[in-house]
Amino acid sequence: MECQPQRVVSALNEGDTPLAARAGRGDRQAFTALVRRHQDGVFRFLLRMTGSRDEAMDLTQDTFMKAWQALPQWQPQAQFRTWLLQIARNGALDALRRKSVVAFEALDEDAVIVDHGPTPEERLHTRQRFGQLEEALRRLVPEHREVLLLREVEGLSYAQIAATLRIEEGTVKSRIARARSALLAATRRATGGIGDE
Amino acid sequence: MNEPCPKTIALSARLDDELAPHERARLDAHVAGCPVCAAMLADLGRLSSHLRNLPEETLGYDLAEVLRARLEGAPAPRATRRRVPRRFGWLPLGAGAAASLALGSALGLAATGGAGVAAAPQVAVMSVFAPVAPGGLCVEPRTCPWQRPAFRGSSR
Repeated sequence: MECQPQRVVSALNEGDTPLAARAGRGDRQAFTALVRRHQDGVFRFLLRMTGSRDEAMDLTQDTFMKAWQALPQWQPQAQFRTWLLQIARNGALDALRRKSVVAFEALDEDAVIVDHGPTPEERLHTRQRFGQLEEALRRLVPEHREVLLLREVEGLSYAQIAATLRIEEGTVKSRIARARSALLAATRRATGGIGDE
Repeated sequence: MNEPCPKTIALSARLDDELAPHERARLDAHVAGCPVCAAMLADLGRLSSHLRNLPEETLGYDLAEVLRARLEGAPAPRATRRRVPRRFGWLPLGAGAAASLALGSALGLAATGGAGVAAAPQVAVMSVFAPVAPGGLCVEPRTCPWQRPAFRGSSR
């Protein structure tokens, strides 16, 4: 492909909507800019949804390939990022279904991962805490996990989450609360509290 | 799963700044005088902060480059054309079905001589749907694969 530095720079500064519109018309360079912009966000979401790095890598690639094929149908009213996360989410749920792990129970009494006390090394403590949190997150039902990831990690608003999951905003509100309660209960059981910063 | 207490939903939405101003003011006033809700709000806030501070995972390579190679060979995506409903689009199908029925009837009449059809037992008519075609009798029913679907293919 020809090197077009000026066009690359402009693509970097361009918003998602014009880039997606161009990509939908077959502009591979615009699509490349979108991939670079969103690949880590999509991967992060998929990694925490599936719990597998390899699977998340494959699904990330699939997500963008599907997006490329579906871009002509993309409407500018839909935010490109939420639209992309919707594709990623469908891929993750399919993968979970294939593994027959669509339904998880909330973390039970035996699921305590490591019962640690305060350690002298803050980094170790932090790593353990994150490990416990990630583990507790993995054990949530996928509906709770995805809504928490979209809100807390991806920083989506309730309206954006509703658009991504195709549910009502009121449902997003109650589902997030339910997911937080479940995660809070799980981390409390695991650590005796959620720990202070 | 139990429905969460409406207070938790409100506290959670408060944390996300997703309450209407009047709801927010009312909840804040409540939380100021309720240690239980205040503690819950603090816990939810800490949980949220921990989630936001989870390690930043990255893919670790330039996916755009990988995809570029795949896209080079792939045709540019094209918008799928909406299928315009055709009036009488079912007509060829219906005509085909009618022709098949007519041909079937004619063949049936020719084979049975016409008059025998009414007298044929009901079982013979239904045998058209059996896996063994009419007339293809099993010499030894116990070894017939159609008689023992569970053992099909296991004899080798």
